[in-house]
Amino acid sequence: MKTKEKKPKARFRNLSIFKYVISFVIVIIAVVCFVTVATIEIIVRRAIPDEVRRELSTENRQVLKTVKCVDGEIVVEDYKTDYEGYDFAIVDEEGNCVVGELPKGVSNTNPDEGMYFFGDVKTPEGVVYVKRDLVRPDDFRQMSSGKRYCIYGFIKEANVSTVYNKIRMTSLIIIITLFVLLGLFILDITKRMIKPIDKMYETAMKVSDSMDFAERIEEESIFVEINALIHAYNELFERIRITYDMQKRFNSDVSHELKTPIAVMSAQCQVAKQKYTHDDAAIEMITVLERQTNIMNDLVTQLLQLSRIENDSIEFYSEPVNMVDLVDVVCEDIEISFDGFNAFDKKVDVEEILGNNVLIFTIVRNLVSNAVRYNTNNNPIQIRVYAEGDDMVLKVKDHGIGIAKEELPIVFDAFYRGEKSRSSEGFGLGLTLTKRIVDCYGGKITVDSELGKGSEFVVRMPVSYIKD
Amino acid sequence: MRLLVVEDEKDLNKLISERLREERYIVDSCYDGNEAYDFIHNMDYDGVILDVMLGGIDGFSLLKKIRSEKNFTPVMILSAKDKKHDIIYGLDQGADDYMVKPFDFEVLLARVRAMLRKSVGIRENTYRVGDLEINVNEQTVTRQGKRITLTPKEYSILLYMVRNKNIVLKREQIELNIWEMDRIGNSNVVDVFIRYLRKKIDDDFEPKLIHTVRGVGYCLSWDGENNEDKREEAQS
Repeated sequence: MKTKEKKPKARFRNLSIFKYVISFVIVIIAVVCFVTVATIEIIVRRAIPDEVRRELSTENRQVLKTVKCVDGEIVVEDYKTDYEGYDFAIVDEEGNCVVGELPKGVSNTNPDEGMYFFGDVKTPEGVVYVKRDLVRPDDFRQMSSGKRYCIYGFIKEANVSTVYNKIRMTSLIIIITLFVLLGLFILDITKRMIKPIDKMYETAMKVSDSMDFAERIEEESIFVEINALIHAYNELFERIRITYDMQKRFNSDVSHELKTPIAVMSAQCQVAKQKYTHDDAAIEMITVLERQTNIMNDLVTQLLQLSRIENDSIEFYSEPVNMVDLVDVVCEDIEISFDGFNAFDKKVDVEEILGNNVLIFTIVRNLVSNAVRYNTNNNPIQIRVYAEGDDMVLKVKDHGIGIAKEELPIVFDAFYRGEKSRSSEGFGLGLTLTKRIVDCYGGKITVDSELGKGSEFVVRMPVSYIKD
Repeated sequence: MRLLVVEDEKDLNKLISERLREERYIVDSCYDGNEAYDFIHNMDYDGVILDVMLGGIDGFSLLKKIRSEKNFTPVMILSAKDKKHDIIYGLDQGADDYMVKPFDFEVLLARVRAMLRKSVGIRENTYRVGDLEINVNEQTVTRQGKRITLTPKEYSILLYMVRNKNIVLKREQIELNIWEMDRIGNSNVVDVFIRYLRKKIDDDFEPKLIHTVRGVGYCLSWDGENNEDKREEAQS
């Protein structure tokens, strides 16, 4: 059965809040800065020409106050300007410069057309603001002729230094600093918000790995909402811990109390069998009872073992384990359980390790019996045990029916059973138990399988060797 | 060694069982007389710790009943009844020992040890099979005077086999008496330990002590010839 998973839109998947906020803040700040600076720029650009025009007019007038006409020659007497970069030229009707020179590119235009011209003119040396004023006859103290003059006041744009320019610079600096500070502030808040979340994630992962629900999130946040969340999380862990402990104890108690009654039943069956040797019907009934009792016994035993492992009441490294002997015995054992199946291709390159015989036996036996159960045509079962670094690797490979891809993730789940299981033996606890044991040894179990070709289970676990 | 604790007060029962388990005994618990009868009747226990005031049939009647069936499982009565006539009655019904509640755990454990060794007819805490010696007090094993180091499980198995020497023991029996929790149903992890044991106590010595009885189990005996008969007997 396939369920359609709702996938979130691709662009919203796996975003880190921190990165998200960073990019968001950077973009926002950049946009706001740009808009503000642009606005200021526009205002300033409009304001500057006005100011320049005013200044140039004033200066022009100042100049004219000092202009004299001496013998038809026009002379400017010691003139001083307050306007830095200002220069001027006086031009007659024919366009000849009487005083000063026009900047290159600025041509004298007919004074008639617009007496009071102002504008910026592009010259090879940059933009120049030009203001033309008509020189009125009474401007010269001694007018010699009826000639008409006009005065050009000009200043290079580069030399224009107005109060607006200063405003522009200052506001630019203030705005950028402000936004950078704002950005840092937002990042700081985000960091403070994220840190507890990271811690929560870490703790949750730790808990899920170790199944130790006594773990708590110690982190404290300055934000009440996050503290509430942490509190809720811790509360949740506590609830789970209580339930989990109860369940563990329940499992352990129930399985334990069931064991003896089952043993009694099993013993009674054997006694009854001996008593009614001549009654075939009775024997048949008793055999059924006995078989079912044994099945029940196996189940209870496995449950008990599982709960024991989960209660950590097993010594994991208590004794030497001889892998050669152990694998041999497993194979002999399987041979008896599976009608003489003995096609084993085994190679054990690890001698003695420190462990728990029963647990390691369980791992090997479960994997091998599983392999035999799903094997086909008496193909040999490959068993490999070898050392790799600090790890011991156990590989069990069959050439059987294999496991469907979609079932691979659930083979280690409790009560999972391959659909085409050859026999009805087993409860689907074997691999669960195996995985739990391997987990407890700090190892990993993986499965690789192809339908119709067989499966390979690989256990990789750290072990300590016994040195003689 | 396998013990049964019969005590209707669940907490106390659990307490005693846990303490005994710490001493590496295999312990079953039950809470009323009838249940206890089923257990004792069907299972082989090395000892029973029995309360008197129980649901179902009481402890004294239970004791009387099993003794009348020629069941000689060692029984220690552990009861709050401390009157002289109760103690006398209990012991006369066939109890091996009588302890009055409240009791001291260490004393209880010592008395359990004494009871267990009496049932195999030894007075000192040393078991012997041929040149093999097990000192229970020090938990040491020697063969031909040479000290042999065993792991706890190997030791338990050897002790169990020595206590039941000359008897063919099924794998399940060994399993049932050596460990309960670590047990794997229907499998022969016992064989692994027997292999280890053989390497340690038989490989370097003659004659061999541990004998395999094909399809049944194992037998520990000193006399090789006797053993052949037993094997054939077991197989038939």
